[in-house]
Amino acid sequence: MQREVAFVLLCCRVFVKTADVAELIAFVQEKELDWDMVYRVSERHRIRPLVYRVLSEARVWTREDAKQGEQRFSTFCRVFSVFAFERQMELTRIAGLLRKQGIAVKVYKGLDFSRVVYGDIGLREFTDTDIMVDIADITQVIQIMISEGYSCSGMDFFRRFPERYVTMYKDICFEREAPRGAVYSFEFHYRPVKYFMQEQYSFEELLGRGYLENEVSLRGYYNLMLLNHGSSDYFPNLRALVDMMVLKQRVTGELPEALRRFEQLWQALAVQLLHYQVVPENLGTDKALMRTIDAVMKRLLRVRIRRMSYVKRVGIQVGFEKEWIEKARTIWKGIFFLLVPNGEDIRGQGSSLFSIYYFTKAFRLIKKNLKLL
Amino acid sequence: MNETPKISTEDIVRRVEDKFMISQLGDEMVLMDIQQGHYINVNPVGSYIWNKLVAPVVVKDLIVSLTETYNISVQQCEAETLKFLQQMRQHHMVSVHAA
Repeated sequence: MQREVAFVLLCCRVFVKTADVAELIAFVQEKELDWDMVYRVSERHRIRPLVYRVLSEARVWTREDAKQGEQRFSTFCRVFSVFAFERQMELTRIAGLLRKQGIAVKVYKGLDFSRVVYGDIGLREFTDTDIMVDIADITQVIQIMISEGYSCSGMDFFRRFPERYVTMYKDICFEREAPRGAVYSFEFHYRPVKYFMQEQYSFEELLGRGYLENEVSLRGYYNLMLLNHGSSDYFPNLRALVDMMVLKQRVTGELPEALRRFEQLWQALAVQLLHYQVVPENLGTDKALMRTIDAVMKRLLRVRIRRMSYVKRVGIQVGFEKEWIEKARTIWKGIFFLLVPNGEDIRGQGSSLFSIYYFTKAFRLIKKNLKLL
Repeated sequence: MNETPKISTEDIVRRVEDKFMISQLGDEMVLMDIQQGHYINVNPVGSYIWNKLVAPVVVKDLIVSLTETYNISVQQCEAETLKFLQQMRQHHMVSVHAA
């Protein structure tokens, strides 16, 4: 394992309290570090504020060789805090506008997760602002967001073929330029799971009735994050593992049976990478899970990584499924999702017959692939 | 315009959090005034003071605590602490009460 990757892992372990600061200081004293690489590994795993905080508390930045690293981390963290504050302000404004119109909304993940679980909105990297909303209110949400200057790439699709849109997509997204650069990005979710995921839950099943009125409990977050980091993304970075560990240290109670293997997956990864103490049971008998652990582990330890492609994502899910029937179902759903027209195929076209867009999509994909050749 | 009354070492101060969003950056802090939209950067000593003010503190006790933590004379510490508290008060970051 590369030295800088090991160092960043040790920072995470100090944060989740499976290592102490003395180990971190000894590591810095014994090994010469490429601080640029430490930064890039932290960036890749979306844990720059966490690493900066751990190293500040350990007084590592006072070392002469660490000064350059300190500069880079502190600059990012300062900018990121302002980013988080601005998104919180805009969120408060937008949520207020929606509630005034009688639309019940509940913020979750992103900002809310940082506040509830980490206690500091600047400590956990995030990009989008996620909001839960009832599907019945989406049309009104679109009107309000558009009138507030936001654009929505899925709007045309949703307006013309709402039932198909809702079947295929779990949310509708809006963007607007923010005053200090970057964009405000809002995602309104009417269900927590993507179309091609095997584990199909509603918010109500996971969080209980009245979920739009109540705070998301830690148990609720644990289940949501198992779906989001696990079933949807297969724990793509250390941020996901740290989230799960921090949550698990604070929650009790039963887990839905369909999510148990995702819990085993993160626990097995965390045992090896973060020295998590609870070794999941009966792993050896679940060959599909063992293979997935290996695949995800290899990916996590890579220094540079691209965003997981759709095909790769479906491939991991196929490997994860235990039964052949489930594997076949995943492949079918994966192919179907790939073939179904999306907003790009529908935009600017006038036909009210949805099936015509299968041809538009095929044409667009062929054109796109020819350009790549 | 009325001048803000001076803070004395006998006064009791306490931080006011509800008007701010706060993020800890290592030893430092960034605050955002929710109503005004201003950002305030607080250095490590300021951050130490902010953390001490979670409960009401008599200014002179705060100065003792600072001189014990940082290598600084009582006179210099008193002057700089009172100046800093005054700035905090102008930004509505603290409430001040006479002992």
